[in-house]
Amino acid sequence: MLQFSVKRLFRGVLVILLVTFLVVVLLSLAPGSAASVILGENANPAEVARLEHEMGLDRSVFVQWLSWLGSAATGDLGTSPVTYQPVTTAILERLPVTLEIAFLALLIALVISIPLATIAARRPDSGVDRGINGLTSIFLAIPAFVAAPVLVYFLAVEARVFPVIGWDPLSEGLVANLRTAFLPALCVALIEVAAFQRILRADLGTTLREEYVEAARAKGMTARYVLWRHAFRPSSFSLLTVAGISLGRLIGGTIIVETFFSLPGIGQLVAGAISSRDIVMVQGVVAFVAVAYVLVNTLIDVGYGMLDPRVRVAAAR
Amino acid sequence: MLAKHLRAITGLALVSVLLVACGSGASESGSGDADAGPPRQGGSLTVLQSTEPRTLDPRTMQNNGAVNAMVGNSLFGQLLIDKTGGGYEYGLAESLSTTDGGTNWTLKLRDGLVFSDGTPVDAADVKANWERINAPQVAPRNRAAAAHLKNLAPAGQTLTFTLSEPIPQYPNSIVESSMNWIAKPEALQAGPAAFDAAPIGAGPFVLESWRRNGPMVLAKNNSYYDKPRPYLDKLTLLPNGDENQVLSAVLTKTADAGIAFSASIMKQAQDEGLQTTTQDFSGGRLYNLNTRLAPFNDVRAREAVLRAVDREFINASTVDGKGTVPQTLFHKGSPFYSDAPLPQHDPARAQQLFDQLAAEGKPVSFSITSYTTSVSVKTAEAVQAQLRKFKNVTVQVEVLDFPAATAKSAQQTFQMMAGGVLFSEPEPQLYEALHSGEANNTIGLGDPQLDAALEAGRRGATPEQRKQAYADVAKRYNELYPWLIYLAPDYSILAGQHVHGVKLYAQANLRTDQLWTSK
Repeated sequence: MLQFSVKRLFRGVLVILLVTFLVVVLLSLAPGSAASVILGENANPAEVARLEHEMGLDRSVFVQWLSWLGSAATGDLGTSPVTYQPVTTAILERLPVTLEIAFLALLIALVISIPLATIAARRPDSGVDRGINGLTSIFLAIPAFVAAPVLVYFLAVEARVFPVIGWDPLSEGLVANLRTAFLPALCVALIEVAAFQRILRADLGTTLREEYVEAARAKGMTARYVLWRHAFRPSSFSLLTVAGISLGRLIGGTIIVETFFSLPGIGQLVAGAISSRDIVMVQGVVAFVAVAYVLVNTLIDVGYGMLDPRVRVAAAR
Repeated sequence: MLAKHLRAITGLALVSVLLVACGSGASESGSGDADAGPPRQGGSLTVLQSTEPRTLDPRTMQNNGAVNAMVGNSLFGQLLIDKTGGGYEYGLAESLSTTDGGTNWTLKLRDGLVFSDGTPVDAADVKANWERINAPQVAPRNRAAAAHLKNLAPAGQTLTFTLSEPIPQYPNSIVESSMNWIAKPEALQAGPAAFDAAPIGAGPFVLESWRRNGPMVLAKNNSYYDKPRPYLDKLTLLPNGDENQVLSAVLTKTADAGIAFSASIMKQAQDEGLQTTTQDFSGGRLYNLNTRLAPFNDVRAREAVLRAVDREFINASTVDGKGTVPQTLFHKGSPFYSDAPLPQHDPARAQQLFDQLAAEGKPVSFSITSYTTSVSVKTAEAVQAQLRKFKNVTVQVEVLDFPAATAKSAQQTFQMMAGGVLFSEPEPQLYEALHSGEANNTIGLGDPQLDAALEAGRRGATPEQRKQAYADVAKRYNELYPWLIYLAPDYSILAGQHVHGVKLYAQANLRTDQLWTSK
């Protein structure tokens, strides 16, 4: 198990190194720099070049990355040359917002998709099954940038149940906080609903055809008992995997809703940093998200073992 | 309304480029100010600003309503404010005068002025702030006004200074730039991070908290000079650049006021019973034609494109025909208005010019550089669609994000690029944008006749002399075809009926010390 964990850790570190290096490469390939953003459209090339030199942006990509890596290894993710904010502070300030949106979105997606999947699995190929499939197809086809204005229109502007924009932290009270968090979370949850429902529906369908399930039925157990007690747990591996991957993606993928709803989260931070070519900030955020992603995926691997004894046995061999 | 919501998120890059002007002729619609009685003390308002500043250092902020004016005005106040119809109202300053037609100046500050930490404000603080602006790490558009400064000599509350050339309208350069904002120099010396955490100015509000990309909460500065202002106890500024979201937020009372940039949103707000406050500007939203590079280094190519494009088509395609297509460089209410119509749509003349250039082996082929905002892209595509109807002209649309577009502008490698020049008082914006050799003359225009007219407008001693000079500017401008001005600016403040004291000055700047609420 220790060997397994070390291997996973090594792979994770490699991923983080690669990802942060690619960030520097990609941003250096993009036209414009933090210096040109600071000086604006009327600066002449000589002025921009001088400021780029002062900011160290004229160094080679590799040297810039190594310099960042040296600091990051000591726990210092650097200071933004654009906003002068320490990167770690900026991330930690915004992390609770993004984490809450991501977890809430995941929760919403699971709460909606699990009942839909089980209902559909109990009546395979029926009208209900096809109807649910159609509904989730619609969810799948609606990106967050479309879902956001539509949901805002119906639930905020017309019904006035939720605010149009803004964020109330938990310190303002749970209800106030959830009112500001729900719509953004729902926007990003819709696509996940479709994915989760389909995966669970397919796995449940397979499990329900297993012999041990037939045996349970033959013993006179109710369909509901068999479904939840015997079929649901072994069918939830894929769902768990995808949910974990989704969480990592959601942490780094809330840019659109955070911008649309004026939420002070990681998504807005990285969007602003990219549009000001703030390499230091982007690198810090990406490294952070990569670490979160790797950790979540490692936890999922461990979770497999907990859910299914066969995995534990395989790992022991 | 749902359709409006579905429109893509409107960015601010273009608008921030656009709002380079000074203001007069503010107009209000649906305002309840007249019936509201005297201003009430207390209460709080949430106002949506288009974007938040990257730092609170005044020299890094842009002093216009589309960008950072609300923050700057709140924390640092204003030295002076331009008045509707001309002249200046004094804020932190008591007077600003010249005795020799604009070379030597004397600025006097009010007695008893204090920063929000209780320490006195004097002329040395103004000198320190102004000298900081004129530094290479400051954006040229911010340091253009300060670049003229020489021999700053503070003595108590009086600062005397000299300009590198006589500029009688120099007060307007102060009003329109971050020179109008004075921060405590010692606080600035503590470094940007420390200053952002605890900025010190002499404005109507002090910073209570700032969650970046989120609310900036400002509390009343009890030592503000202009009592009983500010009226509000608290002002919360929240960034959101999507004007559809701004409208929805104000309609649903999620916010009390916000900024819109299009006539269609403004009209929708009025229909929904909100009050709107706007300003009249000359100039407009435009395309810069780079006179340094082919094909627009040939005046015929510029004329051909301007004659080929029907600006009403752009109006219809981008703002449902609710915008205004400018007919003259100076709008009709401007003291500098002259009846010199902007180049009109003339397809026959355009085709003739395209053919002529093609026959000479110089077919017109160019790229339109657009920002990523939906309005910017839509406008570029509207121009492209119209030019497709002509022979001997090919057009590509190049969509770049803000840093890439900024870099392209700085490198002067664009051919036709989205931008804007808006002004009521043409000084200094028009001079800086069109006079040869000026840093803000991104199109590289260099015409001695236009330069002479701009210089006469800058130095004119009487209103009549200036009016004549700008009539010459407008006439010559129309012969040079440097910009395709397609829409008048439609900047407006949208606010609920409980919001009062919405006053704009200079570059559509909201005076936050005047705001009050009847809620």
